[in-house]
Amino acid sequence: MEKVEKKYSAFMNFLRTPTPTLIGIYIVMFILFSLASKNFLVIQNIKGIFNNFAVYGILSAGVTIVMIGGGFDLSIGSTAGLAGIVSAVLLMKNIEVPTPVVFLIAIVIGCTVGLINGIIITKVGINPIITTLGMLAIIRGVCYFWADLNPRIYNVFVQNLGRIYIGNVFPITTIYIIVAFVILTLVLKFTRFGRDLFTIGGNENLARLAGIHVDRIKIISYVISGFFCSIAGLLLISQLGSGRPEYGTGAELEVLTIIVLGGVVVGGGKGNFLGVFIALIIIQTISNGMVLLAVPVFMRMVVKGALLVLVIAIDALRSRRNLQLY
Amino acid sequence: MSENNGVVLRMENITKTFPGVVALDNVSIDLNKGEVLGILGENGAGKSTLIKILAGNYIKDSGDIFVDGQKFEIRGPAEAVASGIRVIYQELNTLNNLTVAENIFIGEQIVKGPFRVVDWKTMIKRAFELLDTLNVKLDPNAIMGDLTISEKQIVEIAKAISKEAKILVMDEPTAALSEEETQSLFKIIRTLKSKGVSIIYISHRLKEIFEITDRVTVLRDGKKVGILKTEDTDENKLVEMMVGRDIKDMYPKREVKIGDIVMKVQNLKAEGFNDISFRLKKGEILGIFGLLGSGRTSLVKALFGANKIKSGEIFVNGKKLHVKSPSIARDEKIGLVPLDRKTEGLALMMGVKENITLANIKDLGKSFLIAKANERKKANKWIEEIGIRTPSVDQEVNSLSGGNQQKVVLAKWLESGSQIIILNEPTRGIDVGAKIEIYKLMQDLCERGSSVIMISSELPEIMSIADRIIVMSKGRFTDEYARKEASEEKLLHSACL
Repeated sequence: MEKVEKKYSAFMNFLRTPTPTLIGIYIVMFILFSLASKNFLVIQNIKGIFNNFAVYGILSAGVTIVMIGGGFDLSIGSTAGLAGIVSAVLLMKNIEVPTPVVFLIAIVIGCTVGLINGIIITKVGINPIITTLGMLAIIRGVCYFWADLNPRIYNVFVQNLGRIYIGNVFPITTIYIIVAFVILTLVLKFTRFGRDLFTIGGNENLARLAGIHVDRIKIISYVISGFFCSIAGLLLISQLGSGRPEYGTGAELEVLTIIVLGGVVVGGGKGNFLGVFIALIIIQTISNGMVLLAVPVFMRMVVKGALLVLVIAIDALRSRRNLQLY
Repeated sequence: MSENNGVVLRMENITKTFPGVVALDNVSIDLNKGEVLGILGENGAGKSTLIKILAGNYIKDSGDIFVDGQKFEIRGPAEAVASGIRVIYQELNTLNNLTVAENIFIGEQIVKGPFRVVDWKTMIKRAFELLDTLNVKLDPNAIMGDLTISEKQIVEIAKAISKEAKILVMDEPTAALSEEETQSLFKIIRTLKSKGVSIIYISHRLKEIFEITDRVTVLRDGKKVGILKTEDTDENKLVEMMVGRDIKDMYPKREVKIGDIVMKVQNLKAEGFNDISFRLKKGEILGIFGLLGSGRTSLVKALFGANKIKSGEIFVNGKKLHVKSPSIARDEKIGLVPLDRKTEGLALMMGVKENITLANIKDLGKSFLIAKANERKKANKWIEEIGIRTPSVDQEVNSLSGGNQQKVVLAKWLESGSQIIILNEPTRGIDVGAKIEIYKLMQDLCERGSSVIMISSELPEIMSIADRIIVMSKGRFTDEYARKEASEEKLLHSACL
């Protein structure tokens, strides 16, 4: 009766994610862009690509954690915006709160939003999409309290935060992302929190019945997401040189696209940061390529949306072949 | 056979495999017009798989299906329905906010006029007629959610025969019915039979098989053991065919020394049951028997902290427990092997070792990191000790057989040191060999001084393995029997009180 099934190696698992499909499409587009635009394969541009994805990269770190645990977070763009504009106001010329205090406040803001999300979702029991959608609107509204101030960033340290290039080539923001992704990968693989998170995402019922503190773990995942929103907010004001209430608008869509393309399963239980990182690079190169080719904004949106559906559709078709049940 | 009015359905050499199991191995059946064919088999014998293939829910790996002599490829439920095959599943699929008439005509509403608007009047009239042919008085305008389970089942039958039904499959239709309701169901079956409908009747209750079927097919471990005329056989023979061995070998029972009371439950009340009291002794296997909806699952969930307790008390080793959550139950060394291991017992995408340690990661090592080496060691220890057949500790549990999956669930609680282990239908969907191993394991646990609470709806199993059996009906306690005094009749009677 017992049959020995094939072992699943890490590589086999990787092949079962949408990432290989994505890489395939990427290679095609990369060649097309290189042929079509002389500016594409230039150091200056590559630098730009890497620097541009800083904010989305940092945001996707937190959302990946939330999604592996079976959650969802749409409030990230707004939360980053709030952390950003409050920090910018506190850094204004006539206020000039010390930088470490500003950072601390930014982090407290992000984590608090995450905490509120987590508590509403777990303790009140509202669907995470609804909760964070509501939070998206609320926080964005709050951002506009400071709409008239239009604070500029003069603080040199903050200015440099998201703009330095190491050896004049490698943007420091990419280091942040890599550090964050590596740390979180280790957290997922080697800590009890990580294991519990996968268990909850894979089967929340089971997790509860196994005595795992489901609510606690989920709340922590939202706080982690909030934390990365704070960092993203600081990067936003650093790179853009000012604080504006609309910063971060629409980030949730970009980030969700990246994460899903990176092979994180909506509903939880599966995902890794290597896939997310690859998806991040790919989405940014494609965006950048289209800018260089002067593709109009609306067409860029169409392409990105189509890419998302296409890759996931190919993935679905591939996995359907393996499906035994009707 | 002279009474044959022609073969309506023939399934030939049907084979179906799932990861880790051969669910059906070259099974053939045939069904005559106006006949009731019983399909008998233990849990996991392949009964459900066979009818799911017939209903188009599963696609067979190989084999042929002939309807009215014509070869027929069933690719989906719609095709099965179109060829007159109707299935009434054990878990009823009703829309509880709609009326009886609406439920009967789901997907095939009667319409009129150029705009194809729903013809309510005709629909209600037709529904009334249909229910009338079944000799039941049910208001077509009644809301489905207000009906009892047996009434809902009747609506499902009406739905099944609303369009021409040649073959009606009933999967354990009496699992939730009382004696009386069962009799009225049989009356309906006889009515349909006289109208020339062929019926496949699936059950593991022998009494019913003898009462209603003309012929009976016995399946075991995905293979057909035989097909017999019901009148030519008797219970012992069927049981032997079902389990494939002597009853004594099937249910090995050892006498274990029973000690003091470890768990005392007093007047416990929660959603689904009321005023339940019992005692559990060291080394004892306590059986809980009841029909579907008797509150047995709610009871064990409450004991485990997964359902909220409204009133009553639980004492473990003389200490009063407040099991507000499963994590408290776990810390008090209570373990639950749940009814549905795929949705409640296992993280299917994870490996064997992860599943074994997931209730107890914190005891593997002191730090917040997972003590991976220790985890592997512990997992290997349990694989060895309780005989989990897996290629490695990293194997995804999804690809293990049902019996081995169940052992993984059990290992999880052994690893967290549970002293009281609650098993809800522990042998559901696993093959005979694995069942015997599970029975042995339960008794090993008792020998080591643990105690076991076992819920089961399989009478031979509970009567042979449990030391004591308490019976529940409609959320209440009705009777208690020692193993020696229990009989099939007594248990079923108490379960319908």
